Amino acid sequence: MIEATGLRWILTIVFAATGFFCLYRCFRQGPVTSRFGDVLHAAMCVAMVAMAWPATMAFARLPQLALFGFAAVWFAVATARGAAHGSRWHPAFHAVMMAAMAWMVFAMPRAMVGSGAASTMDMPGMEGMAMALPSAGGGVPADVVVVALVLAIAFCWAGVAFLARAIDGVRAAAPPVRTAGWGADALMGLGTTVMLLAML
Amino acid sequence: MSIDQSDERTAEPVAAEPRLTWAAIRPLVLRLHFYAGVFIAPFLLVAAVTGLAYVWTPQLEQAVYDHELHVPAAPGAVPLEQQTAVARAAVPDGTVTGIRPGPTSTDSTQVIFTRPGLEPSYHRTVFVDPHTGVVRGQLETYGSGQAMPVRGWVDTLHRSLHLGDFGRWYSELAASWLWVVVLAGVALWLGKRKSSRSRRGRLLSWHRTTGLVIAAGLLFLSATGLTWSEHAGASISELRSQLDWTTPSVSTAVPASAAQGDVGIDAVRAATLRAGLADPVEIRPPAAPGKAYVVQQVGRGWPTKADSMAVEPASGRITDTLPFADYSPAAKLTKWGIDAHMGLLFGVANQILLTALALGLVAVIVWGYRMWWLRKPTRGEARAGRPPSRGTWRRIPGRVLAPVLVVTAVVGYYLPVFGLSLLGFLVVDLIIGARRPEVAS
Repeated sequence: MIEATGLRWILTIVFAATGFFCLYRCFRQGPVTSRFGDVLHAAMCVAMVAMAWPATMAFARLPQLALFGFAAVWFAVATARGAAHGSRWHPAFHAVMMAAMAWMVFAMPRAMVGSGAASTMDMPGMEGMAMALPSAGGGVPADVVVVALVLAIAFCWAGVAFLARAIDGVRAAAPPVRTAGWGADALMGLGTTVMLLAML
Repeated sequence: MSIDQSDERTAEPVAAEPRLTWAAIRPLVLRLHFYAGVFIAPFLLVAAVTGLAYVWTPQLEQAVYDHELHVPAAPGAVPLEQQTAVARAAVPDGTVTGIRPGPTSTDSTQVIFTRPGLEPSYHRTVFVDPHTGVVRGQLETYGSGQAMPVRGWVDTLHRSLHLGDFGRWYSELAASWLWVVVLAGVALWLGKRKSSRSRRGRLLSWHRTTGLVIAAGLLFLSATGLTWSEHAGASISELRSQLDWTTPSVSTAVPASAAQGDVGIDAVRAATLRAGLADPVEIRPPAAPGKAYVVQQVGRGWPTKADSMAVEPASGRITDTLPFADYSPAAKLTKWGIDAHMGLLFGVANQILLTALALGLVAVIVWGYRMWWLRKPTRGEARAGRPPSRGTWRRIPGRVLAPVLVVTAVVGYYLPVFGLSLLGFLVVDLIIGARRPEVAS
């Protein structure tokens, strides 16, 4: 769950936009395997939006685990197949992202218990300002911190790489759907980074 | 995701990546500096002028409120307890929150009250002659610095133009963009081209030389100013809290076994004086039963006097001491930064430096606008100078621009006024570009 309301809305807009784009691309073009991948991405975006909001953060955990576990395997197979065509990192990125999604669904309750609730205090000498106090929880488990940090760094790197491709695509006047696809990958990578960091 | 590599979704970009050179980056930096300067400069101008006025208000209030602040020197002094009682009679609906004994024999004692109807951070202060116990007046004071009404008024003008929380957007906008304009300006100076000998060339030379001289000071004012801002300030507070950079405070807890009773303000002050807590101090009565008095040094100059002690009411025993030396480096820097920004840390030298910074900023802004005006074509219908050309980002490789965009988004989130205004600029720029495709390169 994202505590900051502004960030929650930003992530909702980001994942909603990428989810709609995936659905649009699914209906627009590509072989069946690609269309199915788009459906999985749209499902991931919906789950991310749900995870960001307090009322829906724990919605259907087990079905989500099963879905994203399956999606990770699906993209892992795609990675193996992609090797034959000379490019495996793109589906591998999605395989890791789906696996990370399953892990987040699994680890979120432990992270939330550890983070506790925050409070505020006045700051002497600085009128009109209040300062957030550290949360009262016992701390996020170390294994959750390590995994979340490693994944966040990886997705941040991938997100920036996809964004660079999208920028170069715009400059080179590449087909709009292709460029938008890189942009969507960038947003999903960077959005997932934020969701992972928010767990800490 | 795609498995089929013939699909256009995963095909590689075909265009060659542009080379990363200063010549490629400069137009984008110039455009950023230009637009930020043109649109933010009015807010910076207001902040500079009101800040300049604020810098000299300590001297002004000493003159304007001479009767309240100063008393004729005389031998002997009325006990603080009695002075406080006299002040209480003057503000019957108030609650005493602090007593500031005059640090010299010609200073009045300030008895600080909170009372219903006061705005947040405002107090009612009664000024008492410590030699006679006579009330010399009462004023509405502001903040922990006990700013008198004229300083409080100018302070609010500088902070919010007296427009409430809405007005704070102006100063946050100025502080949020100041560092961007300055860093872009410094980058342009580093990669500068030779100025022409025209009138505009001379102005450019003055603009960038003065801007470079005041750059470090402006960055300091931007950083410290943001800590006061409403939205970015909240982000900074949260960051400080998470990094344990908060300003510590003395513990007011009193042992449960402690006796009841109150030794009084004079005994509390005497105990802390014996312990080495020199004036100027503020004595704060216990906030609740079972809490201690707090005596805190309130000096804002250099060397810093910000030690504090807690005193048990029943015995007058010091239960906790917090020397400023024990503050974390970050907490020390925060206090010094605030005091320097307010012109209080180094006295008149500090005030002169801030005055020079404010005047320098005003000059740089005026020269900047003048240069823009001189860019106006001598013919045609253009009412203002031509901005640097659009589409300059296309000269920068994606691998450079992408991390910059991500960092900008992160900064924009933590400095939301900066982020939203930048987004606004981009939207307006896109609309203008769409309406005038002939100027888009």
